[in-house]
Amino acid sequence: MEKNFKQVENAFRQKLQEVSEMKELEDIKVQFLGKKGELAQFMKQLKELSNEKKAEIGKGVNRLKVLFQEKIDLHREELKQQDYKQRMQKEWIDVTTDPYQTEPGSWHPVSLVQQKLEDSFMAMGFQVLDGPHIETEYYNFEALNIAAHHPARDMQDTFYFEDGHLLRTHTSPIQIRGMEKLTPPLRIVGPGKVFRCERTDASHDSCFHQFEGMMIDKDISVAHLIYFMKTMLGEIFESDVEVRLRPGYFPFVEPGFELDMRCLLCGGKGCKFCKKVGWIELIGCGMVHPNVLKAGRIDPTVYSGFAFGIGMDRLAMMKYDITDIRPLHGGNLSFTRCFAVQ
Amino acid sequence: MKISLNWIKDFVQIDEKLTSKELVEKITLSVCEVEGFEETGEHLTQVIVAEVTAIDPHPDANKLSLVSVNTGAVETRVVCGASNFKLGDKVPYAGLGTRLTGDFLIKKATIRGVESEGMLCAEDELGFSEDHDGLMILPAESKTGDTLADLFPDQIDVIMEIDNKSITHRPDLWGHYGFARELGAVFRVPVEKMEPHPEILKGTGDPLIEVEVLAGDLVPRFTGISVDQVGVLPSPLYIQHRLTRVGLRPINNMVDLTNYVMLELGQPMHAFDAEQIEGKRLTVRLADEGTKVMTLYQKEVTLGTSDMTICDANGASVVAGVIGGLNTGVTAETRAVFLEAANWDPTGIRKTSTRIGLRTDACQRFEKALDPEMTDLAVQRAVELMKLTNPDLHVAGDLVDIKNRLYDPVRIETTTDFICLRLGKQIDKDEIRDILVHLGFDVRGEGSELIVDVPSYRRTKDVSIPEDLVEEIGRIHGFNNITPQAPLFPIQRPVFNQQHRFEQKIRNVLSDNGYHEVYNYPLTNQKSEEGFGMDSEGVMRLLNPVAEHQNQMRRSLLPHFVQTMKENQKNTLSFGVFELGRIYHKSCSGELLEPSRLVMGGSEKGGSLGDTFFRLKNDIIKLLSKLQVADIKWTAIADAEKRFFQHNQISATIYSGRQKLGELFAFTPEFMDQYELKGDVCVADLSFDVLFSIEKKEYRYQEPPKYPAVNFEVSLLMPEQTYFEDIREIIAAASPLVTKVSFLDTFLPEEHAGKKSMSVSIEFRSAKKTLNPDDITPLQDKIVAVLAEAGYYLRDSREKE
Repeated sequence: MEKNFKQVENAFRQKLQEVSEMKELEDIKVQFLGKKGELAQFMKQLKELSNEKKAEIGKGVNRLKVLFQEKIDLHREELKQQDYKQRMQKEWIDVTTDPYQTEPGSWHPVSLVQQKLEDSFMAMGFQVLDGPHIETEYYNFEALNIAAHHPARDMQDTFYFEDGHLLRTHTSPIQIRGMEKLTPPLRIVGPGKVFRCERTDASHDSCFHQFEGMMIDKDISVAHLIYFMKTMLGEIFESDVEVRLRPGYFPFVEPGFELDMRCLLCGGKGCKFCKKVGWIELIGCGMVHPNVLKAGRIDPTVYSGFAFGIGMDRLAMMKYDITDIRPLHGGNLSFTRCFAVQ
Repeated sequence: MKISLNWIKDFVQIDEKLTSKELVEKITLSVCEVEGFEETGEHLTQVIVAEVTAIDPHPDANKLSLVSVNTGAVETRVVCGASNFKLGDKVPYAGLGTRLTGDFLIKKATIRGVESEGMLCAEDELGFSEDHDGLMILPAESKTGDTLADLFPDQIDVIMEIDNKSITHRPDLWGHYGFARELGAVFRVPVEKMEPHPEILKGTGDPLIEVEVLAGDLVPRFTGISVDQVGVLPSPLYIQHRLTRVGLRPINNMVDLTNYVMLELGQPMHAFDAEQIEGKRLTVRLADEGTKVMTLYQKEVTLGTSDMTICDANGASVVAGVIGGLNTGVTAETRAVFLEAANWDPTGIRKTSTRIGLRTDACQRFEKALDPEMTDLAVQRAVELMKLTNPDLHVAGDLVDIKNRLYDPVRIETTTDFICLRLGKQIDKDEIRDILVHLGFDVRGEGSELIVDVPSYRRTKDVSIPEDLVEEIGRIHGFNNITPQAPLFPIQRPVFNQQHRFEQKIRNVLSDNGYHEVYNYPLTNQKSEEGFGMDSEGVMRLLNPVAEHQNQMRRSLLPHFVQTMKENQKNTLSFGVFELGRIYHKSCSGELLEPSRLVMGGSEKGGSLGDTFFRLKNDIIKLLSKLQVADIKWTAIADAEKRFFQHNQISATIYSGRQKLGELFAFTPEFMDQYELKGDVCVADLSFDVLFSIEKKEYRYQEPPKYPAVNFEVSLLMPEQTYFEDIREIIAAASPLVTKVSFLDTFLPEEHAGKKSMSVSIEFRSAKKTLNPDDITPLQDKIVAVLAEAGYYLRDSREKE
């Protein structure tokens, strides 16, 4: 009997060694552990034997049963692992290629700048307003304290329509519309397209984009204005900027300023970009003229405020190193693709 | 405009330690914009007065000579190409190592075999003028050995270029004296007063030229005087040099001195040849229609009834405030002049100058609203200066001075507190008063109270309200001395611009899906709109377009957008672009409308136009989902609504519920040809306004269905051009238990010519129970029946699951 056990065990080990597929393994399992398998054969002989012998053989069979099961499980696991490996081996691709080639899209650079400006002013509690592009003389000039005979009203600067309307020459009419709609204290900004009767060159276009802002409350001062301008430019250029105010004339503010930013390229030493001045002229701003407050139905003896306007095209050009304003219109993909990381 | 620092220094002392750069910065920060500056004449300290002692011919060149000069210390010989001098003349000598204008270094040179020890200079080489016709001959009384800087000290100067646009509101800054006054305030130093000295203008009785001013409201003041015994001569050298430095060409004393007064005081003047004034009488009046004037520039201009003229008995001789006339102008033979300094209505001058297309120094000043109270001062200054060249000059006849409309006095009452509050900085009361006084304001009042009388030169339009004084104090004190300060503001409920947020969402979704945002001009022309079938109904046309192709507002984004696609196809065929923008038109009721549109375009290399359509459609579906626009339906554009450029088969209208959102379509092959479009192109034209305003589907949690769904697939035979949507509607209407109808596929079975087989999957589900075969079988039968009724028969059917 002992010998038979040994033979069965050897046969099992022999067979198991030769197994290379799951199917064969299952066959072996049936051959040795199945209802009619080798071990079952031993059990059949039992009834003819003495109790003592029964116990001995029963023990031997059980030992083999456990052993075979263990070996088979182990082998099964090995086969599985082998199979996984082989499957992956066949699944090779060239990961360095990009067969779909869907290209990343982009925002227009002026949209990018506008969003950044809107976001930072919204965070400071400003409300974003819009206005019509086709305006009246009242909103574009008169309400903004631009006298009837002011040169800005000339046909050489302003596009007029046959019915007397005009294309707004700045976003400042949004100030008036904002004041009409809201009551102070108010904080508003207004981005958008503006139009000037100009011949086009590398830095001028007949249609461009401005960002207007206004804040009105009791006792608003020049100090507040500088604070917001510094904050805005810091946001746009993502660095601390140095600014300076110089006198500048705009009929709708008094006092009026040109706000310069210390050139970020040369740090103020003077370079080609800032035309050797060390400063870059960026923003027209000032304290809202009392006549403009009156036009907005706000009492200038109670309230004061500041207003500003900034050219978004110029900002975008500075921020993204665009050297010519003209490609901003027209949608040439070689231009537009620069605003997506390819 | 060019401004000379030396000229300013005639009236005000400026700290010599200040560098030009610092001074320019002061002016920029406190007064107006200086575009640039130039330090002139420094090289003259090295150029020496030399006397010509010998002139010998060059041995090897006819046009050159060898000139020996005495430079005071030594005798040197130079090779010279000029011939306008003689023995004993004093000429400028630049020795070796001298650096002239334009960084021109004098080195030892051998010219045609003869060594030259330096150079004798022409005016242009020294920066006196553009003249290169010969050597500069120095005054005979010049001392040999002196430097030219000793001889012409005024020539060492700083010339600043002022940005004219930055002083349009400051009539007082159109002359040097105005700048002197400003610097006096900036540095708090006294400024030389320009005061009337009536004795200078004292004449000998009645004016020789009589003046009559008609249309007086357009001529606030007219001042003039006759002088005789004048000789038309060159101006004194320093005056010639000064004029040259600030960009004017010296002509003769009469012309130069009127120019000089204009540049000094800002008051333009005109000198008439008094003997040429026909009838010895000038009439100032509006021109008759078609009046012709021969100007000093020898060009005839034609005037209209709103142009002001000065006329003599021969008619209009001067375009007032703009340009003098040839007939009464000063010539070399002039013996007596009538000097005029007037003040004109600014708007009228600007209009006249625009109409006749002449921008002179005079009209540039008059249109700024000059101070009428300086005309007599200007005449006085001119006479004073003329006496420099004509000591015998004789004032003949009394001053003519017609005052019609001077500007009203302006008094501003405010407080120093107000000024400090507006600036956001505490400035000392005394400093505020001091600044105002230095600027020429008359200041009274106790403590914080300010009663300020505005001087005549600041009240023509510039200063009238307390805020104007805030500017005066701020700029002189220095705006940059103000510390930025965050305002105190109550926290308010934020109000977002939902439309902008919506735009932002669209930009995000589309750029995430590979589309590039483009901007096109809102201006277009009728021809390009006609190409898309638009007549001129409701168009907004410009009165004054800059270009023919941009003479009206666009009424559709498509024309430019298609152009953009075409242009890009030259470089690449496979791309997606979009534009968000306004279109403009006038409604039938005359209302101006600016609706916003969204256009998207896809271009592919070519192969399947349908694929391009479906790719765009899929992107639109993703966009609408992100925008929470629900209940989307796509239908083929009805023939009646189809426009001529839209593809007969590949064009769809997109609805949300019953609201039309827009269209997605391909172009007809003919249109593609005509617009030179290549490959496969589809575009969508959507109404941003509808997308934005339509009711949005909010996100809502729904419990997962309690009971399972049963799927049923059918394959139907139908004419090839049958839309799935039609089939879907029939099935969906058959029973409320139909919860979903999906398209699976189509193919063309060989055994049924002209038909296609479409497979659809139908989902049944009840919210109340698990559907069993007893429920399903009748349902299936019903669906098959309604389809059959509509003419769609089963190819075969089978139940799934």
